[in-house]
Amino acid sequence: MTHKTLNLKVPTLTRVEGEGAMHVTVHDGDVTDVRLEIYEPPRLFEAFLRGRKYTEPVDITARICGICPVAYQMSAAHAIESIAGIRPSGAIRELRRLLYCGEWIESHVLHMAFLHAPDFLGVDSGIDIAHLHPELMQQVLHLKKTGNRILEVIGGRPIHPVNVRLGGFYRAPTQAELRALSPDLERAHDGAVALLRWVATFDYPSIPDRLVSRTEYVSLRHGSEYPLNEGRIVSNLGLDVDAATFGERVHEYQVAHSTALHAVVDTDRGRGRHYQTGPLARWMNNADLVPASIRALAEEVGVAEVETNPFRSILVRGLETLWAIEEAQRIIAGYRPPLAPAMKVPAVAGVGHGCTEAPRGVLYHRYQIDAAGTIIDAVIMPPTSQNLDAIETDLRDFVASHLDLDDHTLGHRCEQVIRNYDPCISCATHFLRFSIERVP
Amino acid sequence: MCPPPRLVLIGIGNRDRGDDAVGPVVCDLMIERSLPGLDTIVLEGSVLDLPIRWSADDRVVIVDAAAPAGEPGSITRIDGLATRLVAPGAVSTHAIDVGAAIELARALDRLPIELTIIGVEGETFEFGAPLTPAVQRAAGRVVASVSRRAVRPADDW
Repeated sequence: MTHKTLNLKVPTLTRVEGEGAMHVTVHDGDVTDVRLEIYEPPRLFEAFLRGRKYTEPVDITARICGICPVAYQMSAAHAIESIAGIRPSGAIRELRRLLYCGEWIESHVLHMAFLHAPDFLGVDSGIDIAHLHPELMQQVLHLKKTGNRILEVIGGRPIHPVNVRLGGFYRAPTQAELRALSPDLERAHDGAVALLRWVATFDYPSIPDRLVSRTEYVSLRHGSEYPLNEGRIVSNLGLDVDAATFGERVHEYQVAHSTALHAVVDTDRGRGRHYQTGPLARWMNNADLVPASIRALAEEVGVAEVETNPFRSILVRGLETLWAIEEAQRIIAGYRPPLAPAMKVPAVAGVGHGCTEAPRGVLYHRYQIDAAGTIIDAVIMPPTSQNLDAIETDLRDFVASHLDLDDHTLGHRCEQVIRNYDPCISCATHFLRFSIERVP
Repeated sequence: MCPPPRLVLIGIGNRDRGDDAVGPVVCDLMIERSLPGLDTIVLEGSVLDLPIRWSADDRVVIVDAAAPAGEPGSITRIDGLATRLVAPGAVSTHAIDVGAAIELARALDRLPIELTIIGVEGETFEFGAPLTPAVQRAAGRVVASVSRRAVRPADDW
């Protein structure tokens, strides 16, 4: 038995989006305290949205994140369109999927090569990897550029797209504009395969006793396609609800050490079910929906239909990158511009819910609007908030099972545990509910 | 006489953030001049893919806004080939700045034959603000300088 007392502190986490810290206390061999401390100031987007027009969240919420603005646009659009009973279909639906594919590609590749891979290679940054693997990193840059290019062609610019509106787009791209993306996508496909095979060579730590039966993996599931924009919210432990019900069953709660809320399913803190969302959950609930080409590569690199090791999430991101490229190619091959770039979405009083799959997992939006189209209330639950409990649980379990490591190595591995989730702290810090007590 | 190698002008910045727009504005002004052998690229988002925006035999000029330091509109030129621009260390998407991207190009052995970084000191970066007069004048000086560079293979800045 290991008797060890230590305080692991990482005051500033690196290679994550946003600002946070980690604190782990071990006392006489027991992990007594684990805190993922999010100290980035709250950004209060939900409050900004109150009183704005119902047409504005697709642009305002896109500003929450520079990496996944499309996710915010899509969840907002779906939520508000649902109030009016509008469901864009055909070419508009396909364009939305294509736009989302671009975001998945650029976000996943950035995380894999620049934020996560350095952990496995024991180097500090992507620049160090470029010294070691220059050809691969050039492919990575091309992949990233291809994802951004898709955003630019459909969304109007490569970051914070401006062409998205309720009901569709301000302008639909021409066939020629989309087909011009094909050579880049073809080359990107080769790069994605190379990147996947490369990450498959890494040595993966593990967290013993991390059982699928003890962890709830939550994602969208659509009847016939790997989920991006639509589907029911399901889990390996039997959750199967629509977006509206999901919103009712998720409970957010605050912890003292974080400006980001945590979340549980069904009832409140302590009694609810902790869960995680993101690539492992998507894969677990939807691996049967990817094409045979992706399944073959999954088999080649040793990814099973049920993957529970969070360190191996980078492999699933690699498979999803490849899937997004093939999906983009499929959409472009069959694209015919819509007769009108957008459907009309009238202002209707009511409450709407939207869930889509951001690269990091389920992103939930809820809006209440009045008959004049003014937003009365807004709730946004980003995947990183939903994953905070899972990250802290992983930290606790990992430390408890690796006390034999020296402090430096253990601290580094704990950072890696956090980066397994590609947390976007900037996304997660919109939700601080605070009160002020004024003493006369 | 051989024509000079292609000159790639890269303007970095957000058009909606006051003086941060100086890079894109310089590109706009250069496009109006239609100089042969000049390509312009505006980057309003990530600069991570800078290393694949040029070829090894290009001459490259990057124009970006510089942080306020008391002299709005002052121009700083840096030889990107001769200067190490970032200390080795962690790179996140919050820290992939022009310097890190150029060091990435150096690691990939993808530096161009000539790389000049022009920083124009900004005064205000407010949403929706236009260029301040000092930076507007500086943009004109940069355009004149880049124009000369475009047509002359050997020149001292």
